[in-house]
Amino acid sequence: MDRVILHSDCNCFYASVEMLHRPGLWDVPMAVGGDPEARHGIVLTANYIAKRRGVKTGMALWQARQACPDITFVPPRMDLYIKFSRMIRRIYSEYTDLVEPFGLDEAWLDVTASVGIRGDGRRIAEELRERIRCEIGITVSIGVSWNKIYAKLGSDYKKPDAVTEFSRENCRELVDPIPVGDLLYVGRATSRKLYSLGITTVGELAAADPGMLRSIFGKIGLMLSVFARGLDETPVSPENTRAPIKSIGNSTTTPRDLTTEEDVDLVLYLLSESVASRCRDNGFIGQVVEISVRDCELHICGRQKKLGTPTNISEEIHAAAMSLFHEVYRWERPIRSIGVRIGDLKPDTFPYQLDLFHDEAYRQRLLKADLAVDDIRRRFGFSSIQRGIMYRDRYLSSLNAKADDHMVHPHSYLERGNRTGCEKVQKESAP
Amino acid sequence: MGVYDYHREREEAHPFTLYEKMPEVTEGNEYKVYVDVIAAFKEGQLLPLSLTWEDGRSYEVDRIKSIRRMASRKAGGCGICYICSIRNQEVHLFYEENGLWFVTRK
Repeated sequence: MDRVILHSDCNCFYASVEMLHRPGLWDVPMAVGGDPEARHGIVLTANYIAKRRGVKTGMALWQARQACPDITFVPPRMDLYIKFSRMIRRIYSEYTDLVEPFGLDEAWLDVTASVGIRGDGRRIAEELRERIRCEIGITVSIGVSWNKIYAKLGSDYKKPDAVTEFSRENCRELVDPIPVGDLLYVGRATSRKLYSLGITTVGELAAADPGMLRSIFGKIGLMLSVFARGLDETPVSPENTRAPIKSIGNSTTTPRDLTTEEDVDLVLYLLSESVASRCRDNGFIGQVVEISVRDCELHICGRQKKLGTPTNISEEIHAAAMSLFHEVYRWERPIRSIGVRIGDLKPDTFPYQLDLFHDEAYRQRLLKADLAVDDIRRRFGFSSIQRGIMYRDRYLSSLNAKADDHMVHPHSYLERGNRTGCEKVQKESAP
Repeated sequence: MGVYDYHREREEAHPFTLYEKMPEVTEGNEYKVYVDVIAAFKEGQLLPLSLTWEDGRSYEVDRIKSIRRMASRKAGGCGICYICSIRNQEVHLFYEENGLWFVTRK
């Protein structure tokens, strides 16, 4: 039997949440964009009125104002969007345990097992759409199909507040004319190549010979063919499962340019603490520390190094990051953004070689101190306990480095490996 | 990554206010009235008993007609909506789940 998969996409998610909370913005062009003073000056989401006038996600605020002079900008409130995202997921979870979020505002739902109780896919989708509109106050568009890719195309097909079903009967008629660039994994470069092959729509891609696609794009070519033909078998992952983490990193554009060693020290402490604490939360130790530095003219440089012993202690990560910084940066210009990342992760129960010249007892004490800080922050909030250096510049240290925001960006579709089933096609197409 | 903490200034004004007890919109909205509520947990369910209107008078909730999650586009917000009858008037009382209650003004 075919699976029943829904893809739900909140229309202009950030803008919708803001419009709900500020009813004065319902019928004016508005955009959620970074606070120019905190220097994140781009449009994150615009509402439909602004979009119709040419405002696009990713535009600088001044560009958006050029396109649409009477636009209202609202600073983003990530915590609120995360709260709304959770409330929406709570509704999804009443229908199925197979919910795979794709960023804050999108999710796939596998409702195959609920069809007997709740009615067919379309009915469930209509019910979800209605409930989210009434209970949460924002609109979603939902695509219904038997695979994740078509479901996603469906949710893009008609917006806002709509349900589109691609069944086996109507799919060729409806899916075929969709431009090929709307497919997942067809970005600007791939669509240009496809255009040069005379492939402009999903239908043409589906009709193309998989073997030919493979010879041009490699394995991705087969995958695209599978996507276009609706043969994708990638399962919807169950709730609350995380893909294996390869590295943990955190970077930030600071509220003002960093000009002295001490500024860098402070921000690196913030970032190292956040990275180390996330390592501990997830039960990891890592052995490779990497930093990236971007100066005020947006030149990027970075370097990594391998530590003697794997660690999740913030003090050690900071020391490594600081020494890397000394190696890599010559202070030609002030710094705009900086990041710390730890890689080569192992479980923290993993045995490792001790260093003869390091005081292991002291390391254990450092770790205990870090754990105590974690505990205090969990109970009383992030700002309840801080390093003394944070008081040297309260403005810089107001950055909350360990926010929930690592869940904002969608994970890669192939993060858990290629489960599309494109190997079968490979066998078919082999001579 | 790294989100600038916009709550910081407000937190300094009330040092003991909990982070989750922040109203979601602070600027004026004539249809949204935050009210103080006396509520009780009965059999595991949160039920409002009385509310204090902005003029300082307090009103008993005579009857709760329905409880459901709802969004209010008029007032701007969402939460658990208690449709109450207070002195024969229907009142929509919302619990925002952050410690705050509001009423939509007619």
